[in-house]
Amino acid sequence: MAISLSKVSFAYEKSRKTGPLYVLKDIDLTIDTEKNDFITIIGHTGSGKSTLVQLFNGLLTPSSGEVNVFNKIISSKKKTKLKEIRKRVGLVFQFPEYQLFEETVLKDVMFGPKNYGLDDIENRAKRALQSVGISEELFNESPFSLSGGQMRRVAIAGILASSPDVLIFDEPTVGLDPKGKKELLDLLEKLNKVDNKTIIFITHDMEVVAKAATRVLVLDNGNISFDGTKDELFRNEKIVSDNSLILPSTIRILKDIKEKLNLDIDIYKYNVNDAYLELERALGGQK
Amino acid sequence: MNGKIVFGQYYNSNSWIHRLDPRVKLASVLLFMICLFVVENIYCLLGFLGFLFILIITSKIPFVKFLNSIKMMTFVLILTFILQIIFRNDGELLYSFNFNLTYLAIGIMVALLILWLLFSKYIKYLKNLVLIILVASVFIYQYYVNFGGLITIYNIDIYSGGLLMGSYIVLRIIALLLISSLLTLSTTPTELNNALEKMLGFLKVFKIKVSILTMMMSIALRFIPTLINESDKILKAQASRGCDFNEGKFSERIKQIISLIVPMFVIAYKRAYDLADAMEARGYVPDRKRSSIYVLKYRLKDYLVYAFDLGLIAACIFVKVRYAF
Repeated sequence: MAISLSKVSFAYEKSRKTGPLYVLKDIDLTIDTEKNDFITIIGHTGSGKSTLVQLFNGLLTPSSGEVNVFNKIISSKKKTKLKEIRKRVGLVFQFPEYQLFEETVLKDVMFGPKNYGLDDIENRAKRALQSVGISEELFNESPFSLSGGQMRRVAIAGILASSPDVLIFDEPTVGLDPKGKKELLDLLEKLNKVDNKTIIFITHDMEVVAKAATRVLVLDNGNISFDGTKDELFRNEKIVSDNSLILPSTIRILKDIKEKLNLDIDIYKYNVNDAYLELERALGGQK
Repeated sequence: MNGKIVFGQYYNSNSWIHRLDPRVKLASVLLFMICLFVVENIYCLLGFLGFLFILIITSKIPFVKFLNSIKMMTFVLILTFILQIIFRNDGELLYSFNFNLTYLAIGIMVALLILWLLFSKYIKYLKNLVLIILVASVFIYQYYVNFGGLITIYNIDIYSGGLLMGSYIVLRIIALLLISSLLTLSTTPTELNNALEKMLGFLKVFKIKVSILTMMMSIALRFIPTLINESDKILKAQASRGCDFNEGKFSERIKQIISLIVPMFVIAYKRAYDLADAMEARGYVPDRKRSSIYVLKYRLKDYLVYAFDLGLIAACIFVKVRYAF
């Protein structure tokens, strides 16, 4: 057990007249890092997604209830050493490129490991930069001379360099072109499958959910309204319509084909290959 | 730093003071402040304070809001009062206190100071009250206890003149605070800015471009909440990289503050360029004559307030001249 929330509520203090504004209400949640899950969190704007992930590494303290991260407890009653938590749970915000500040790319990536007092800082930084695909000739450039996509990758390397066990991304693909988006997703899948990191990923993009997720959380108005696999999610028509989710493209196409041709097929396929095989099976001997 | 940040302390209650023309309010506040400095008579000052309270009550703004602004200045007020009492010695002698300065007393003072420096950060509530009690107890100790190696006896004399002057100055500062908070509580920053633009219009004679200055000011005001929000984000992003602004050696802390300042500059510049482009796209040309969405127009009550202002300053000058000779 790595991250667990029990009866966690979070409220932003408002004036006495309106009372506290609850963003999260009574949340119970367990994230097991042994499983190497790729967790996506979806939900409307303002449903509390960003607040939830900021609780995971102690950037926010719950108003009531307890957050247990690697056996360190964060609650409003107790003060905990947050640095150790943040070392193990890395968080990448939206537009992370704004956090760059050093003179060179390498130095900026070294900032995190240095703060956490890790050893072999320079090699860690170089490995992190290489894993996000930044070539060596850029290491001594100023981070502000890079392109937007490169800056974002450097910023992500800045988190990877302190090798956290859990990586949280708050809509990291916003503002990237399709190619940059795909590269970033491939990187995250590699981190998940090869380096065995648990990934928590906030997104609005159902294609990402269809492609990579092994577990999906749906947040609705401060409550977790769904927690399960993507297959369970997309098969649950009520959840899909309640949260006005758009089904992934393969499912939509298969659904259309099923209706038009009146075929008996399972439309819940998440990549082109599976969809093709299903169609081939259904059409059988027919042309 | 969480949630929405509202800049300024504007309190909307739609009273007659809120509906006054901001130019009138600004001018009246300035005149009122001048009057406060012109009169040197404690009865006039009390009269001003009474008048201020009537204004505050009719403004329908909760009095707590005004207390907050006074609270911030408590320390200055107390200090001025005490200094006036100690150092002014005209009028008649009211009390004379003899204090025994002993080695033991000095030792106790040093010990208390060290204790305060070490433990003051653990006191959560009423920190100032604890400090005042500590300081007072040091003096009470010196008043009653005279053993422990007497060095010298010193005395503090309280004269009626000092008491009068002390309370006079304190009341004047309170009146200044009240009138200025009345202005900021009843007027939005935008309104104030428009009033300034109109009132400083005469500077055109000296080739000073007032409209540009006020535009800069309103942009600055507009961007304070945005930049606070951005700094909050950067703060969190750097905290995720193990940056801790409360720990570490001095040189490390400087480094960590730089990790906040550099991104803030980058963001501020980017925002400025974006805004400049957006303004140009909408045809903004600096210093061109343009109409305003807020048209300021004097009404009858505005003229009445102006007339009252003139009467007030005339009365003040009259009192001053009359009692000066």
